[in-house]
Amino acid sequence: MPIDRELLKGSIALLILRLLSERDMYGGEIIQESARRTQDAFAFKEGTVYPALHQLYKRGWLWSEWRRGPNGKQRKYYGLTAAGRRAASRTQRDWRIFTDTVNAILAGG
Amino acid sequence: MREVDRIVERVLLRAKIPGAARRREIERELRDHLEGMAEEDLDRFGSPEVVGDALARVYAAERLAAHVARSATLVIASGLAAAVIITGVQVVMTAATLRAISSEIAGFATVALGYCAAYLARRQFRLSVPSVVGVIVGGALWISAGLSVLAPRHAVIATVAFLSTAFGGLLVYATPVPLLWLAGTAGPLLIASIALGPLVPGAGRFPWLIWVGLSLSCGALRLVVRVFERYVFSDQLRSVDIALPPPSNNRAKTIP
Repeated sequence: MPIDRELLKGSIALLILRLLSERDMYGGEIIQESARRTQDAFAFKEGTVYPALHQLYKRGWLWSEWRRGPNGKQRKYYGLTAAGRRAASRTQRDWRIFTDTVNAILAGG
Repeated sequence: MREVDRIVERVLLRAKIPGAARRREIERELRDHLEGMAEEDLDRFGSPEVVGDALARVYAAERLAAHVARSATLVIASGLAAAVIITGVQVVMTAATLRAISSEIAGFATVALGYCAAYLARRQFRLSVPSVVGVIVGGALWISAGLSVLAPRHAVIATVAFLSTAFGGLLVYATPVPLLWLAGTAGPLLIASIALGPLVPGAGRFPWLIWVGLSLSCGALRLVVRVFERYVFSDQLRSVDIALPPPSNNRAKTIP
């Protein structure tokens, strides 16, 4: 079931940082991978991943380079810098605290 | 034009990415992504305007810095052009010795500021004529107040010079009537002469020499601006021009 778009907006950076902490990926690959892992629940518009990637790149959390993908086509790959790895850990920790807190409230008294 | 090209162009027009190299890189990245999608799946990309606006927010600070740098360069180049023209007119028409340039600097600066303010407000920021008039009057008040403190002897003439070139510039960019801008440069001089008396000692009721200098300066600044539009501001103007709604019979397919 697709997730509310407003919820996705706030978590797209976390999602990108998490996926890139596993391996370098290009934009389309990030979208495919998130769709695959969530059984298409993360059905955000594909174009929105690029502003998020560029924002993270500008913060110095990502590096990028053009290289050949598996099908021989040139792709712009992104990976995490050292600052990006620290940010990924921090955002995951913050997300867990946030979800634990919300879950505690949702669970009731 | 293919649908992929149309989407990429619409994103880039909204994104207004500063720097040709960065813009080409983003274009290549988006094109690469879209060309990997089947035509019937292109709506999965999302609205090009939404993606473009999001990219514009990412690069907002760089775009502002580039715009300020370009505008400052235009004002400096215009100031130099005004200095050359006005000094030349003074030397040729009065057959007098060159007056101390330092005493004229406030005038050169306000001539350049006046024309550039009208150009930037009207052509770059696309303000309406009443809004540009508001900018000009506001600018004149600030200049008058500043010069009253810094260079009181030049405050009146420099403020009038600002108003003359600003209204000259406004008429250049707001009306298609050729040479009407000459009335724009004359108007503030005439009003100031009537209200305040001779603007320079020994001049008649209307300061013809100043008007000639300011009008020639406006003509020169028009050329300076054309050079900047061709080589410096071309991307920004193209973005603004093309971002206007396309004709209804050629409207690009809207992707929700």
